Amino acid sequence: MSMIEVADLKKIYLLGNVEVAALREVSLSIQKGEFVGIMGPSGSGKSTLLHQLGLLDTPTGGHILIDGTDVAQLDDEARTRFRLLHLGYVFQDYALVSELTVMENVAIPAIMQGKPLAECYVAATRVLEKVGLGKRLDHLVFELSGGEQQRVSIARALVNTPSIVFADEPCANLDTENSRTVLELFRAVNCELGQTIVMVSHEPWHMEYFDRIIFIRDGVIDEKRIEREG
Amino acid sequence: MENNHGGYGVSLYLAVRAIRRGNRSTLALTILIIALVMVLMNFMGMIISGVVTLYNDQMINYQYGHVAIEPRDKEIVIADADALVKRLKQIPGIIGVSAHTGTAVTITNIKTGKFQSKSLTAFNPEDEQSATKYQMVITDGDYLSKGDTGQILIGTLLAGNEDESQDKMPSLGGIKVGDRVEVAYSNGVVKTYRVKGIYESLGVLIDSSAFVTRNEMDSIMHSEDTATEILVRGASADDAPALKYTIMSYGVEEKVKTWNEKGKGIMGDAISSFNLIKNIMTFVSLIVASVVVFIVTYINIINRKKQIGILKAIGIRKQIIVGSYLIQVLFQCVCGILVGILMLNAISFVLTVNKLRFPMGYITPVVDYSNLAVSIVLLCIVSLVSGYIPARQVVNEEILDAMRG
Repeated sequence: MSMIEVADLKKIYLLGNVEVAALREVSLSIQKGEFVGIMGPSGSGKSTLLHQLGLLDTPTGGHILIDGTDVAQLDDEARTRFRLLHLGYVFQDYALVSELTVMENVAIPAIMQGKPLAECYVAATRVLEKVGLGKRLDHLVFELSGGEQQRVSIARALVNTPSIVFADEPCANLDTENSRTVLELFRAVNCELGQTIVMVSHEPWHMEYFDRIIFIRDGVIDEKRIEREG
Repeated sequence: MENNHGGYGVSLYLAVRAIRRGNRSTLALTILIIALVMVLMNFMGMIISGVVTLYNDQMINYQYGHVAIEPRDKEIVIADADALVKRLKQIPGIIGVSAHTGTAVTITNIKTGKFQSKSLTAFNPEDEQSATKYQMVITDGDYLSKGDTGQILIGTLLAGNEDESQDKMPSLGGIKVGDRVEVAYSNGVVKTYRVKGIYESLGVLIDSSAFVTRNEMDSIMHSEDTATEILVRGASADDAPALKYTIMSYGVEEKVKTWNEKGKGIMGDAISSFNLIKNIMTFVSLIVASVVVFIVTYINIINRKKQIGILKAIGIRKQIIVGSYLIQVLFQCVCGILVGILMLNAISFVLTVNKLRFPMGYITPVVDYSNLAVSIVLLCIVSLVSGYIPARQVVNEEILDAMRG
């Protein structure tokens, strides 16, 4: 069953009067529960693709269906709500709110859903324990290491149990050990909760964690399926 | 906290944490700036209110009392004045009554020959003490006594200085207590008086006058049982209108005017001019306030542009983000206003202890609470508008642009 269906997706940037095509009629399909890696060289369009899929940017043309919803038809307010309820994000630079504690950062998407605060904090605590930060709840984010901050970011992405988690080079600022921890966390979430995960990476050794890799070069897809061992 | 799908409770949640954990120096500086704007908006008003209060006090204490009774239309004097004074003294709420008889005279300094044409006023010194405060501002010599004849009380400006360049207005050229002046009345009588006392109220019109007792005036002008004006003192300046109607209800047919009605005209124009200056100052201060709040909020928001992008990315609505900034701006504004009010009160206290000497007297700054209320409301509105515009501008940016900072 398709979680994401993309057809003829185009993204053209205007640099002055010059048009630069970042995505050229990309079509793809991602199944529910898949852990998909998007890989390619620098400037190939992998982050641009992730931003279009994650509704963080508006495509120039084409269609995106997420869990049966044509997201192109959504207005700004509806897109915001769709992101809140159905999508989770993990960014390269963690993108945490510096004035909130670890628990508040994780709880904020749940609070936005209108749940009672106590319930949101329970949910945040539970997911933070899952990522190994159960003892750092009241710390401010700048008191954590890079790897820990990225785990907070993952916890925030998971707190509303979204259908899809998008991760944009989440290991780019981490050492190998922390990168492995993050990838194993994604793998575990994917296996235990069955959430679809779409992750951009340029590290070849990350490939072993993905169910499938979408290679992209010059805004065009070169798809190759990787079967997971065992 | 219960939120109904991203309600403004989330704005409050974010705002409270931004205030608690944000940059304290920036917060303190912003509050201080708003406080100073608050002071700027109200300080001039305080001084002007002090000047107006001083003018009003001078009118009440030396010129008109709380209520002044004048001759009926087409009449020059109040007839049967003694009986009227007696009746007035019996009216509840009246503390003092004093009948004045004024006449045009020429006063000459016998020593120097300098003279001035003035209105000489006669009163009963005992009655006058209950209606005005001349007896409290004697700077040299003594106040008049009821039985005094051949003695005169002169204002400091009329007395003047031997060195004319020090005079604020034409004077008698340096009269002192014990000196003799010659007074030429309109009926041709010329009489020499000894200067018994010199007073100084710091009011220009007041301090250029001269007084004798009614007995003295009656003996020369035969003005017994008449008055050109009767001053009435009540409990307070604010009660003057009520006192006026009480007096009228007792059947007094002469013209009855409150001090405020008497003070219109030149004083009214002066006060209107002061108020105009005050309003211009308030307007300028508001423009300064709006620009300052706008700049501070704009810088604050630009510095947090990335965080706004993050909040939008994870699904927080624009209105919630704008709301959180408006709450922060409102908090800064309220703190600034409170600090500003404290500063105003501190300034007021210092200037009350160490009074400012203006040409017309010592000014005690008066906090004008209606002006204060208006400036609070205006400052809040200006702050909210100045906070809303940059917040709205940044939240309308594309998510990825905002996240790049």
